[in-house]
Amino acid sequence: MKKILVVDDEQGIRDLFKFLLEPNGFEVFTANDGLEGIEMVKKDTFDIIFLDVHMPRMRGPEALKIIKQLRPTQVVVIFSSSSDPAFTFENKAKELGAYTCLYKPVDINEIFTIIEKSTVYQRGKD
Amino acid sequence: MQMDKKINVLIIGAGKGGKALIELFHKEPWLNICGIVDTNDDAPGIKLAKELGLPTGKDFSPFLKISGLNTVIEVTGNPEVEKSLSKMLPPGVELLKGASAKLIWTMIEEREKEIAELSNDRKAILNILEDVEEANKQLKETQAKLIQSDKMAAIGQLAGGIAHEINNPMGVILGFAQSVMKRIDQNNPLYLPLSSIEREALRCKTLVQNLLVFSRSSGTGKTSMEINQAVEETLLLVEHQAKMRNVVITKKYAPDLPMIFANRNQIQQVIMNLANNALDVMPDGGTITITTTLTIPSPLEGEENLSTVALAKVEGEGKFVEIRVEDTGAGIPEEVKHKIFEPFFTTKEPGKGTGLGLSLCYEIMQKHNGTIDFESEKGKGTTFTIKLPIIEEFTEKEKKKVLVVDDDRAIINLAIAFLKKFPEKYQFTSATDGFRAGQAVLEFNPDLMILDLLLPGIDGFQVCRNIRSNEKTKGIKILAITGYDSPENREKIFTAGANDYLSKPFEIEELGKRISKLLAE
Ligand SMILES: Nc1ncnc2c1ncn2[C@@H]1O[C@H](COP(=O)(O)OP(=O)(O)OP(=O)(O)O)[C@@H](O)[C@H]1O
Ligand SMILES: [Mg+2]
Repeated sequence: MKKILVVDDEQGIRDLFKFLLEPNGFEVFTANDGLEGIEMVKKDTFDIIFLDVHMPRMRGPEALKIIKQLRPTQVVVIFSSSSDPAFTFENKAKELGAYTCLYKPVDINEIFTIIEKSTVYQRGKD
Repeated sequence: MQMDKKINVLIIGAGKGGKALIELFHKEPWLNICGIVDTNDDAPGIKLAKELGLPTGKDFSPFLKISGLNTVIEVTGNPEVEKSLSKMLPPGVELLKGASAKLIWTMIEEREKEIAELSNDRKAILNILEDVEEANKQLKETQAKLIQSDKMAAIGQLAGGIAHEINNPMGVILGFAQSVMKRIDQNNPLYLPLSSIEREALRCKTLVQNLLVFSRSSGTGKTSMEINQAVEETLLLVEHQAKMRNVVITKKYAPDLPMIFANRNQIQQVIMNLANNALDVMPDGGTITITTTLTIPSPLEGEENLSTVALAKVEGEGKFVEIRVEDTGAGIPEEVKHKIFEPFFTTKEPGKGTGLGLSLCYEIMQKHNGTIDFESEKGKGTTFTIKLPIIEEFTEKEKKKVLVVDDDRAIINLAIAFLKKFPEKYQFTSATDGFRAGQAVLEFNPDLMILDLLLPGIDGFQVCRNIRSNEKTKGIKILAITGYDSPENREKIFTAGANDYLSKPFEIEELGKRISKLLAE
C-alpha cells in the first residue's frame, strides 16, 4: 500500500486527504507542522509528501530543505495557499527540490494526476 | 447741447477717420462734438454718432452756425469740400485739414497699432491661460490615475492578506464536495447540491485570483508568445456563448506578427474580459470584430482620437502590437465613461458583474507596459484597443540557456542571482551532482554550463569528457569552477574539454564577464 504524508496545520486539509485517498487504497499519515513532519520522515518512509507552505513552528520550505537532506530522492509536493503563482516561489521550491507546486484551493483531480505521475517518475529513477 | 467745454468741434467726413475721431473725442471732458456730417447716411461714423446720440447731417452749412463752435475738422480729403468750407467758415473758427488732419490721422493709426499690440498681448495671455488649463487637466488626469492605481494597490494588498485565509477553507469545501461527488453517481439527489458547492467554490477561487492580480508581486511569469494564437484560443471559449446570443465573431488577424514577451494567461484574461463585455452589451445579437495589427507609431499620430481616459503610457517609441475588440452594442454612456476602469464599477445587475473586468485589464496592461483605451459612440458600438510593446531582444529563441552545476548551493545561488538580472538574455537551471547534471544537459540543452569540478559521484572532469564525446552536446561551452588553481589542475581542466575556468572565490562581475565572453565566441 502506498504511504502518503500530509503536512498541514489546517485540520480540514488533513481530513480531506484522508477522506479522499484512503478509500482509494492509500495509507494517509498526517503532521500538523514542519517540525512534526520531519520527525515522521526520520522514523518512516513515504511515497509522497504533501507539504503546506504557511505553517507555525516550521514553514514548508524549511521543512522541505531538511527532508531533502534526510531523503534526497523523496517526492515532495508543496502547496501554497496564497494562490499567487509567483515565479520566485516556484523557482525557490524547485531549487529546494520540490517535485511540483500546487495552489490552494486544489482541484482534487490534480492530486490524483500528481500521485500517478510521481510514481512513474520514481520508477524511472530506481 | 453743452457749450461750456473748451473745444466745440464739427467733424466733416464720417468714414473710418471720422468714426475714429468720434471714438477718440466723445469721452474727453474738455471736448464737445457739435456735429458730424457726411453725404452718405450709412457711413460708419454716422451710425456711431446716432448710437451715441450726437447730432448728424448731410450738409455742414447749418452746423457752421452753431454758436460756440470753434473747431472744424475736415477728413473727407475731398478738395471740393475743402474749398467751399474755407469760403463759409465763420470768423474765429479753426479749420483743421491737410497737414493738421494728417497729424490726427497719425495719432489714430498709432492708437490702433497700440490696440493691436495690446490685443496681441491679450492673445498671449489667453494662450498662457489655455496652457495652464491644459496642464491642470493633465494634472487632474494624473491624479485620477494615481487615485485609481492607489485603489488597485490597496485591493492587491488586501487580497494578498486574506488570500491565505480564504484559500484554505475554500480548499476544504471544494475538496470535500469534489471527493463526495466522485463517490456517488450523477442520478443521486445529492449530486446537484454538491456540484453547486463545487461551482460556487470555484467562483470564489477565481475571484481571489483576480484580486491577486492587483498585488504587485504577481507581475511575473512572462514568456514570449504568439498573439494571434492566444486570441484564437480565447475566442474558442466565448464562441458558444456568442452563438447562443446571435452574435457573429469576425476575426482579422495580421499575418506574421512578431512574438511579444508577456504573461499569456493574463493577456488571454484581458481578451476574455473585453469579449465578455461586448457580448453583454449585445443581448439581441450583433457583431464582435477582433483585429490584430502591428503598429509603428508616427510622431504625428496624436491622442486626439482616443478617449479622454488616456491610460498607462507605452514606454519607449518602439513598435507595438494592437488588439482591437469592437462591438455593435449600445455604447458607453457619456456619464460613466470616466468610471469604467474603476475596480467594482458595474452597470450590470448584482450577480451578473463584479465590475472587476476592466480594472483587471488596466492593471494587466500596466504590468506589460501597455495601454488600454476605448472609443464609444452611442447606439453604434464600442471599440476597446490594447497595445503591447514589442521588446525585440526578449524573444525566447535569442535567450541563452545556462546550466549551473555545483554541490554548493551558495555558488548556485550566486550564479543564478547574476543570471536573473538579465531575464532578456538568460534562461537557467541548476543541478547539484554529476548525474543530475548529465540529465539536465539532455533535457535542458544548454548553451553554456558553469561546472564545478569537485562533485559527489561523477565528478566535473568526467562530466566534461562525457559532454565532449557526445555528438549532440559537443558544442556546449563549459566554464569550469575550481577550488585549486595549479598549473597541473589547469592542464587537466582543459584536457577534459572546458573552454575556460574560474577559481573560487570569484567576484560576480568576473563570472558575468566570462559568461558573456564565452557566449559571444
Ligand atoms: N463594450 C462595452 N459596451 C458598453 N459598455 C461597456 C462595455 N464594456 C464595459 N462597459 C461598461 O463598463 C462597466 C464595467 O465593465 P467591467 O468589465 O469592468 O465590469 P463588468 O463587466 O460590469 O463586470 P465583470 O467584468 O466583473 O463581470 C460595465 O458594467 C459596463 O457598464
Ligand atoms: Mg466585464
